[in-house]
Amino acid sequence: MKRRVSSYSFFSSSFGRLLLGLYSSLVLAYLLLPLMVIIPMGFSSGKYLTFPPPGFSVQYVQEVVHSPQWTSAIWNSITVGVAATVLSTLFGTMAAIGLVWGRFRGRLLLFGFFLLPLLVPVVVSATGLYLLFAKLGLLGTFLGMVLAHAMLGAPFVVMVVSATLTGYDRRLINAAFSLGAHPWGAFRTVTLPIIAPGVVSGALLSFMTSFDEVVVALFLSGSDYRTVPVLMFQGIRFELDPSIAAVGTLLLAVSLLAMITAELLRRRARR
Amino acid sequence: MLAFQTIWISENFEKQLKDQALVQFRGISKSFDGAAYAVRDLNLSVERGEFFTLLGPSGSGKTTTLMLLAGFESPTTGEIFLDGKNIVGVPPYHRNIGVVFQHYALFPHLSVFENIAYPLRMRGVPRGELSSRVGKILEVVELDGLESRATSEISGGQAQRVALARALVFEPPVVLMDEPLGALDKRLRETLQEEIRRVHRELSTTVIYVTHDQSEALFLSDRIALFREGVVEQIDSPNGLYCSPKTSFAAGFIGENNSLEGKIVSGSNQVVQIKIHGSDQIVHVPICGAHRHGAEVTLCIRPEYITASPSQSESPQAHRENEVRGYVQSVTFHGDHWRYCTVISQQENQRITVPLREKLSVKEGEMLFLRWEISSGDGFVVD
Repeated sequence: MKRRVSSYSFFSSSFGRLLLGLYSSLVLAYLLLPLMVIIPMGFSSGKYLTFPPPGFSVQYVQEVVHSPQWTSAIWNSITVGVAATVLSTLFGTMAAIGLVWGRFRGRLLLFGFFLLPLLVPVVVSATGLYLLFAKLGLLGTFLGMVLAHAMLGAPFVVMVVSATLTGYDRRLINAAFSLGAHPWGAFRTVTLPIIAPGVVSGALLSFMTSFDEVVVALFLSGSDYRTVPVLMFQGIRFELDPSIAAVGTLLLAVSLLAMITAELLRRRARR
Repeated sequence: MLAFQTIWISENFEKQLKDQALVQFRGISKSFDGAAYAVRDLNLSVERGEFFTLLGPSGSGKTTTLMLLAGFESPTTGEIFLDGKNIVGVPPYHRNIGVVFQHYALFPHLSVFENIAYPLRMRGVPRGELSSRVGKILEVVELDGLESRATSEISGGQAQRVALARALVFEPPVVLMDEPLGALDKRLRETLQEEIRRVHRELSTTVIYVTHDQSEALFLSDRIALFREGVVEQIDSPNGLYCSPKTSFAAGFIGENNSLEGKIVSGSNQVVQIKIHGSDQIVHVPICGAHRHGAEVTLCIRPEYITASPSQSESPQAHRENEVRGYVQSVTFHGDHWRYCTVISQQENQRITVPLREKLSVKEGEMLFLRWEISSGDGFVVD
């Protein structure tokens, strides 16, 4: 049980409270502003992407759902996102275990190396991948996109899982061994459940990275393998109708859903 | 005739198996860096059903010895036998040895029940048998009713019982305990010592216990191996270790002991006369091992064996008793006894304990005569 420690502060006075409330609302509004623009426009009845929308309708949501171009892009985004997440989580977790538990020279250097995709400007990575994948014939393919996004997502997994592992008591593995668990069994029944919140957080970050990544996707998409952000980016340059906003709203819903699922999983793991 | 012989041989073989120690260390050495040895040329054997304690100060190699047996470390040289089989190289999960860890090492994501059931699940024990076995062991450690608790919802003492139950439930031939009570407060430690002793007797299992607490070792053990700097100084029963230590280290580590430095001036084989350094006082000391005239000797004598009075004895019994002069350094109260710190021949901190009702009428700086039976002292030749 945590005891709440109270102490006097300026914000206990009524004027202070008012100021704090005002300030907090402004910050909140600032954070929500883009959403407050996009979501209403997604349900616009107008012909063009204007704000405020002239009226309410679900016609553009319907249009998006029924347009083969958009549905295939949504499908691509989800499949690429999931596949990239699986890859980055698997290899990122393995890397984190090696980096945290390993005792070898240059461990910290290697750790920095694993975070490189975060530091290198995305445009640079994208150009490099573009030239490489052009040689390998991976441009505009599912595999190419998955590999690229897995690379971008892996550093998040490495970071979050490493942080979780640092707090993990490795004696538990010895305890599991002494009780008859094989190395894989000990990992599956003891280590993994305990570090699960970290793994899930890393996976979520990795999925979100892939799901709204536009730069690398633009470079690698070619002419016929497009993810949602790519299609939106290209769309906004040619046709300014509210379906972009409708897609944006859908994207938001997917992100929210992913986050809620991850949080629920984490809570279950903690119990 | 042939049948008879076969029976005789097999009976003999079985007897041999039964007589064989359960755990044997043969010539075990362990070095982590190739230079210094954590354990050096260790030879010891533990009998079936025995409560065997590895005792020593921190860094003396006792925990390393335990980890070698558990299989978390592998020896640099030597062999370890469990039930007659050499287990060096066998991974810990195939050794079937129960381990109670210093800080419990309970699985935080599992309930009390699941923690205890873990080794049974790893062995594929069917569900019905599993819950009855867990239930039974919960009764033994007196934790029934707590099975659905999370490990974060139980006290330190309860956590220790869970750890104990988890190490016992799969009925391993030997259970290792690595300072299991180190993290608990004094009263709880005493309760759990009783508990561990009771469980050991009830299940007649073999226990190898590591501690640096000599009173815990004396209370629990059938036999104790005293470790010092990676080497076993003495293996003996608690009584043997307390009453006849083989080295001055053993004498000083087990119980409380005074030590006086001196030099052999004369004497027969078993009892020599030594002159205490710093004065011309001479005492008789039983001594073991080879010794020669003029050798440096440490005399160890326990505080409770010394009686003291402000005046010299009227009927000295020089053939049976030693008597020396000392000066009172301090007098302190310890609840059930008084403690006098004295200086004997400039050697400080020689302690005497006196029961509460027999307080001496001396003050700090005054002279005191100390007497003890010759046989209650122990002399050790200084190398």
